[in-house]
Amino acid sequence: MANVVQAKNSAGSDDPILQYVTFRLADETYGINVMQVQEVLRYTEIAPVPGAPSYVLGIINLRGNVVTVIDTRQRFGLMTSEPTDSTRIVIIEVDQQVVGIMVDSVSEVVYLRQSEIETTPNVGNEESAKFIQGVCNKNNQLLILVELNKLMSDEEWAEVAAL
Amino acid sequence: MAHDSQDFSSPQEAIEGYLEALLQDVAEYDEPESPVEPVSKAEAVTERQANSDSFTSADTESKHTGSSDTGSTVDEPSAVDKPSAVSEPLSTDESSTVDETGARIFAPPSARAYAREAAAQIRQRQQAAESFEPKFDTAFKELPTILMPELKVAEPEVKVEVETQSAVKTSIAQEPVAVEPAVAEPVAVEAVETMVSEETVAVASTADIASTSLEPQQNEGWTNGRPDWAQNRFECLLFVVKGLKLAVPLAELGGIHKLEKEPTPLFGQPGWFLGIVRTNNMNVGLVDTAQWVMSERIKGDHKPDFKFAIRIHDSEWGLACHEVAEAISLDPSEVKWRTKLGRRPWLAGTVVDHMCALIDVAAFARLLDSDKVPVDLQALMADEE
Repeated sequence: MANVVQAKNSAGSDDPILQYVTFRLADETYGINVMQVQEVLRYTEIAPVPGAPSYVLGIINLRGNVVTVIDTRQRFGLMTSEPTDSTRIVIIEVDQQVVGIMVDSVSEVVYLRQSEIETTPNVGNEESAKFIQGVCNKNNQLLILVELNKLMSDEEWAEVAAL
Repeated sequence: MAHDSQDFSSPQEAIEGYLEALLQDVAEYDEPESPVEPVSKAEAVTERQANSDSFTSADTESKHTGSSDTGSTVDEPSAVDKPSAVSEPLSTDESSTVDETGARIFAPPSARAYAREAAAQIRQRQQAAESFEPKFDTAFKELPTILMPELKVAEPEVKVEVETQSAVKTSIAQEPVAVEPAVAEPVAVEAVETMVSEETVAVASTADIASTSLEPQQNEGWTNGRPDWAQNRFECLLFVVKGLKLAVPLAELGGIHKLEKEPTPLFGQPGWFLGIVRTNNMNVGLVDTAQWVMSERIKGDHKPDFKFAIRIHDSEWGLACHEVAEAISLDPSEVKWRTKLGRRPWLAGTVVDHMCALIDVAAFARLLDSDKVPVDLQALMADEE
């Protein structure tokens, strides 16, 4: 609660405090902007879609709405794994499009100052390297911040929307 | 005008007299202009006979009150224009005068009585005509009810024609618009050509990355054929990577960090980038030194179990190693400096006495910070061989 008050008090400063939802994926901790997170769901059965791109796990029924679930591991170039009890589907909204990303687990919401976010060396030529917004050392661990707006290209977003 | 006030009790009488004159006109001059039906002619003849009887019999005139044409003849302008002809026989009467408006006024009482009778006759005829009006109204109403639908149908046809014309105009107007993009197509072709040319440039730049980037034209920071820090006797730190002994000058050494935690890997990065290590409140990008130095010996079972990280001075890059050995002092003459610029810009030379390779860490850092750093080192070295 104190953090919330602090965040509100320093919202108008030059060094704003940002909130990130952290999740675990392949033993690493990632953070996404809380403003883009709608809700977190327990793992539910995902209906595969024939002909869908490889990074699409399938679709789920979210209170009557069809939501496409993205295979985050495949998108990040990580090894695939079977879902567990801690597996979650994070419903995010990007460019007025609602999709779900499957993660190993959801940890918490952390408050980060803008100045705490550091850039990372980008020596990769892969598209996934563009997803990383920066890193931040929080609670003696490195937090990798993901920029969801670059998670997929415009063509891929259109492809997902067409499902 | 005192004469008028004496002869007529009201203007109504003057009007009645005027109407009587019109009736006389109708009686004397059988109007040939009116295309009236024979019924009206017969009535006119009847009126003429009535006039010839000196208007003595009111019953005879009352028989003609049913004629509707009489009213119409009164309303005709031709009848209005002929009062002078009608008044000629009456002009001999001394008491008759002509009003300023041109209306004839008959002073004798007999004429007034005659006028009253004629006015009554006219009223009857008007009443009769009004009684017949519904017939005419019905007739006229029936005709429009028949014609109106035709007009209504005809109007949309006109509108359709107009729309058709506008559609034709639109189509004609669109045709040039359709032609204009066709004219613009060559622009698209030009764009494609531009893209093709850009791809060519991109391919050329990729080739530069593979060759030119690792073959600098000259050693940066070198003087007299050796690095600036090797102009005199210099200190070096020996470390071991996968059994290979390497040396780095202390002048270019930023620090030695023990890897107590696994580096945090970042997805989308090449295999030689092990991840980020947090040391001394700074993030250090850890480089798999083995893949750079002995890429030909790296197999699929390569396990980057490094223990230390040698951070390069003024850089956020660290060289991972298995062991850190002793520091040695070297004379520039003990080093076989490279003379040929190859694809290993990070190699400064070799020290035969210690059987180790001397690394130009500054050049290594410059290569890592540049956007021309190779991703697949094994493929790069295979091409070199």
